[in-house]
Amino acid sequence: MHDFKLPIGPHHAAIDEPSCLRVSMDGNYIVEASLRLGYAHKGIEKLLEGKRIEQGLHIVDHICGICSVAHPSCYVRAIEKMLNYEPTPRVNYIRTIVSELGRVQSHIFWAGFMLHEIGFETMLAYFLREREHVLEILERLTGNRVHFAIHKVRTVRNDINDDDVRFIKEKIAEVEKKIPDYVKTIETNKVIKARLVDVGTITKKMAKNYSLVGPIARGSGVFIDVRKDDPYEAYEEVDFNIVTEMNGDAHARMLVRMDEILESIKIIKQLLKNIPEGPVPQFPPVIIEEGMEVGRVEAPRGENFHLIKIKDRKIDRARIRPPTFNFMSIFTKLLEGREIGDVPVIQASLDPCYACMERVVVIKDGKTEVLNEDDFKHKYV
Amino acid sequence: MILNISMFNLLFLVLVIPISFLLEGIRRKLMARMQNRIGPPIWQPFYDVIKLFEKGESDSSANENIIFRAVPLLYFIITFSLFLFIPFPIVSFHLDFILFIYIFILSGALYIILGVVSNSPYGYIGSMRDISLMLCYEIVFAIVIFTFVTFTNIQSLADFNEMWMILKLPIASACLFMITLVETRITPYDTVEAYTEIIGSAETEFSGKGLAFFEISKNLKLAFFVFLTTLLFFGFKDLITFSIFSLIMLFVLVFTEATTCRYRMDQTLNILIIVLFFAILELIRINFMTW
Repeated sequence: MHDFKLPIGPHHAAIDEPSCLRVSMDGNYIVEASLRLGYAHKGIEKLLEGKRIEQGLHIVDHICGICSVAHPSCYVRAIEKMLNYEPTPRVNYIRTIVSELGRVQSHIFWAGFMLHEIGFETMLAYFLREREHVLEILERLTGNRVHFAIHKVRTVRNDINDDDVRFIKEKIAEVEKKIPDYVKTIETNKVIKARLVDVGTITKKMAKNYSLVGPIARGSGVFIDVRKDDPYEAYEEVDFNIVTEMNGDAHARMLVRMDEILESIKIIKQLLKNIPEGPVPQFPPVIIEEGMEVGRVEAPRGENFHLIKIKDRKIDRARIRPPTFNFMSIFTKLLEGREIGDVPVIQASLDPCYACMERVVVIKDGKTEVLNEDDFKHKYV
Repeated sequence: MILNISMFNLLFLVLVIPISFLLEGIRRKLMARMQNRIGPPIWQPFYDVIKLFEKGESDSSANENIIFRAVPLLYFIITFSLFLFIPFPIVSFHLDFILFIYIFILSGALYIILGVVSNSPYGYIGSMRDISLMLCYEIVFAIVIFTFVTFTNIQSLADFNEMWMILKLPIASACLFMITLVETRITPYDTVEAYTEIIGSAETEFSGKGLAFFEISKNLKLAFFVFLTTLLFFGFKDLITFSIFSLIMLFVLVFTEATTCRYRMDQTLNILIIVLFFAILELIRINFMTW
């Protein structure tokens, strides 16, 4: 069965978003894999050009449904740097609460789908039940279950009152009660361990060489987290740990994410306890004549990066680099030599988000143009 | 050959398809309740199959192949004919369990052909997996049936009237339970059909009537294994006890499916080899060792 090529995608049960993975098989094992992207390309960066700053915020909110708080947070950070503006502590606290709730729901959703990929449908149902509590909080705070960004430049969309705080505490307590049980299942269940341990192993050196970020790098023992390295919002005022595991396999990545849920809940509880009093500022028009700044935040999947260039009060250029961009470089390498049944496991363990990632597709005369760094500089710079 | 044609046996043969649909409906409902969902109505398998019969065939290139169109019907007939022996034998003769094992293996072989003729890479992979696993699990099945037959010292499956064999032959019973999980594609051993890996293998390309026969055969196979395990583990005393034990057996299968995830292909094979070893051990124990 040499040169047996199996197309996985663009429509496949194991991948939630469109991508075409072509694997060459030798019997049951993968010899080579190549990834073709471009199915979820929306032209967001081009769409941003020429828009006012407020309009741009609305567009970046809609880049992704899962990390829909990370992109506005990043965008607002860049704009506020240009304005040289430090938000009030209450605004920072509210932003951080929503960011962490976003992380909790993303990790819970991911953990459910990771177990769904290996056939554990019951855990998916249970995880979705827990996620529902978080979505209810987000709906109450922001008015939306999916696009729940609360960020505005200099302020937030909604203030929170005492009833909201009580509601969040109740719901979060329910999530906190259940998650340790699930962690115990994941740590002890023999079948889960058989499927996840030593699958898709990334060493610490590889993680650094491939510039991996977020839970994947932390699963390989790399201490990297924008919340600690370059604190923003209210992260300086809370006490939390960077969760790391040393094994670097799919199981380690799973444990990192599960522990991060508990850390995020810890952060939310601290914030709710110490939330400062005071009004939330109104939303004045944002006027910037010219400027260029970068913003970076820790999205659920890792470091999210925005570069915004403003000219004549409008966005002249925007560059968005989400965490998934880094993961895709190592994805096909991890598949080599693995069994076909490991493809969904490795793919899910990297938690790719193509809607976030797909920025540029260069097609000239029907052919994809691939250039190395020197050629690129020679041709375009 | 003796034909045990009684009113009851014939009625069972006529009703076995609706009964299998009901069992599948109960299975889905139980599964949903375990997963904290409401689940589909118990009649859902009936609606599904009726809908599939009304639908047209897909326009795939495999559809031009006569084998592709004929094999689902053959698969259905062969699976259905398993009910001639179990649980209420209509056909019985001297050493009929050999024919029974043959028909069982033929049903597995037809499933492999289904995958190969479907002209889909996922179908090929599913068939490849099934061929590898079949070398283990069909042998285990044959050995287990031989173990039960030798232990009870019967000439035909119709003579089987022992109770509580699960206590007398625990290892063989455990082996048969494992084979049930593999054959009915229940986690942790649903490697052949792994939905998130190879999209259900053979059934990927089927549509309309072909898929309807496929679905009926799958439901029949689940019902067959529920009845077989109930009969061999607990025995047949009367219809009510048998029905209750069948439902208990179904519950055990659904519970297993709800609480485990899928093993990888190589891991499944390794486990099946161990099962094969234990099945042989039990056969040796009952023949040559007495304690």
